Amino acid sequence: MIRPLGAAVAQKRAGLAGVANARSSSWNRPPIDRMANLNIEPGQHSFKQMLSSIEKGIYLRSNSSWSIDDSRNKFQFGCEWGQLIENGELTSVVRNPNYRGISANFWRNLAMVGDASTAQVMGTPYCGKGEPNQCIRVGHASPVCLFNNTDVFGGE
Amino acid sequence: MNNYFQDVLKIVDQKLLSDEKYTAWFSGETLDYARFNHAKIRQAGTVCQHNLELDLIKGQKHASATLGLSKNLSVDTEKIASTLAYLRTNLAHSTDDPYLMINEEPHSTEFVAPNTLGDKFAIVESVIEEARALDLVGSYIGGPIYKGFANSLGQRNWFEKSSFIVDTSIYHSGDKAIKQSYCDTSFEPKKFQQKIAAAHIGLELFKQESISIKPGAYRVYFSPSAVHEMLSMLNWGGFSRKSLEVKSSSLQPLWGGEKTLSPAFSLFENTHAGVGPNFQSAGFLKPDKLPIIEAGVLKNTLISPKTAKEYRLDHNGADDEEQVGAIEMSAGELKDSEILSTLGDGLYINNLWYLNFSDRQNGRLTGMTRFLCFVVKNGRPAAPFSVMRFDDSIYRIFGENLDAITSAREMIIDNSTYEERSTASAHVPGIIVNNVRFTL
Repeated sequence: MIRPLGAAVAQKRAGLAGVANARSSSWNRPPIDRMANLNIEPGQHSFKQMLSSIEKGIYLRSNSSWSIDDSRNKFQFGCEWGQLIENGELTSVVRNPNYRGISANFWRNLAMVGDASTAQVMGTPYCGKGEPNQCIRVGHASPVCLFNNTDVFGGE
Repeated sequence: MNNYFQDVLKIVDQKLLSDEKYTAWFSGETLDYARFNHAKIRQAGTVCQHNLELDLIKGQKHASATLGLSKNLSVDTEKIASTLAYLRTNLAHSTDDPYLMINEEPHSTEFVAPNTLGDKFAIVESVIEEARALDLVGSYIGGPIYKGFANSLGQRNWFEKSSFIVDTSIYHSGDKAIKQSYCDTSFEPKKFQQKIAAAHIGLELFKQESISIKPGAYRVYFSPSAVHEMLSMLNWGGFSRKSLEVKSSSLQPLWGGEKTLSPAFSLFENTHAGVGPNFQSAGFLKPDKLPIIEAGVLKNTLISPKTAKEYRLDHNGADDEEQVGAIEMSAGELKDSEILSTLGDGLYINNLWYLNFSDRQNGRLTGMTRFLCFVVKNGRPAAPFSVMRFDDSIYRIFGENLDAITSAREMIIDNSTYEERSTASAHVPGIIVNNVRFTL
């Protein structure tokens, strides 16, 4: 951790310099610390190189369902599209792919990060936080990423 | 306030050209609030706001804009004139809207509920007094909500009702807290005292170390708040006729008759008992009470006038979002005093959090437990447990595995305040369910 996302209070709590990210959804709401533009820097590997390194896996694309606890620890996400990866090749489409895990363990299992050719700016999706809820726009950009030991499952 | 709305409409009528029509939606509130920290007032104030959405119609073309009203008619006259000029400019560049819905059968209504909230200072004092020794954080929000509709055919609808929300978290230590909400149309100190008494029991329980439960199937009591969270997910397009027609509803198998829910499970839209108006934004009226699910079978879907036109159906006054505004789930027979003994060995869940679908087409939900949730052994609280993820189908939770429903129900008013207070509400019981699946 170099610096957390957060203003003065969060920085004091963390004992690290931060990035001031306090924002409010409207004039009549208190600003709260929250992510703004959260991006992953591209790595060294092409998508093809990443696929060819996988004997048996799954390719997940386009998030369609999201759920995480209020410590942002235990998560579960669903995807619109999933395909098996078999011997380095994309093969069958799967139904209702979901994955879940515990944040720190999940990110410790990050094995490869795609290069700049795989990176996309993923629009300005909404993020909700606070009570009463404050919903605001955020920015995300990311290359493809390869994770080991991820719990993946399907629908009914 | 209705008199002011009528004055505003006279200005609109005077400035209308002969080939123009309009609809108008008035939304206002006088809102007192107090934010609490450590059971003391941190901030207090009043929000008084009134907005008018004007939809200017010419043939099948229309254009709309929302303006903030000042309650000063000379200022409002200028605003309305400039807004109409702006809308006329937009109309010149608009194309016909085939789904423009105008209520051609004007039906005027007026509903003004007596304000029974009580004195705001006494309410806030009551909260502070009861929670004096506690680490309470939260807010009081209360006051009247006004909604009005009008069109150039002479229809006039008016709704006015007061309600409040006391939304609190009482902390034991760290992130251990008891989350409660007390909502209604009149504040009764005794009911708030009961909430605080329940919180004290929870704080005692928090003195024990939280335990981690293993993934698996458990017998569970879901509080009314937790039930409301799950029903809110079904309300996310589930009952919408448009969603059902385009096959994106989470209740597709229920609509198709392939699946049913428990015969003990019935659900209504009870507009009359809610805190929102009985007319929607285009001036179409809602029934006082609409059966949605009766004895586990889907009886009605929510049909907006637009969906009705597209699919050649009769509408039932639903808004464009086709969501139940005032959820009412029927009560059961389980007394509150018998919840723990009936649960026996299982999990008592007060709050759920961040629900979503893990398989929308089949009605499978996932979400996290939150705040005070505890293990029950032999009908007694044993220990709080750390947050846990459930992942199960509504056909099991409200169907084959639904074991008991409480006779007492809780009024829940949506605490969302985007732009203005939400008028969504729910009146729901707690439930005991067998074999609820926990995964992580």
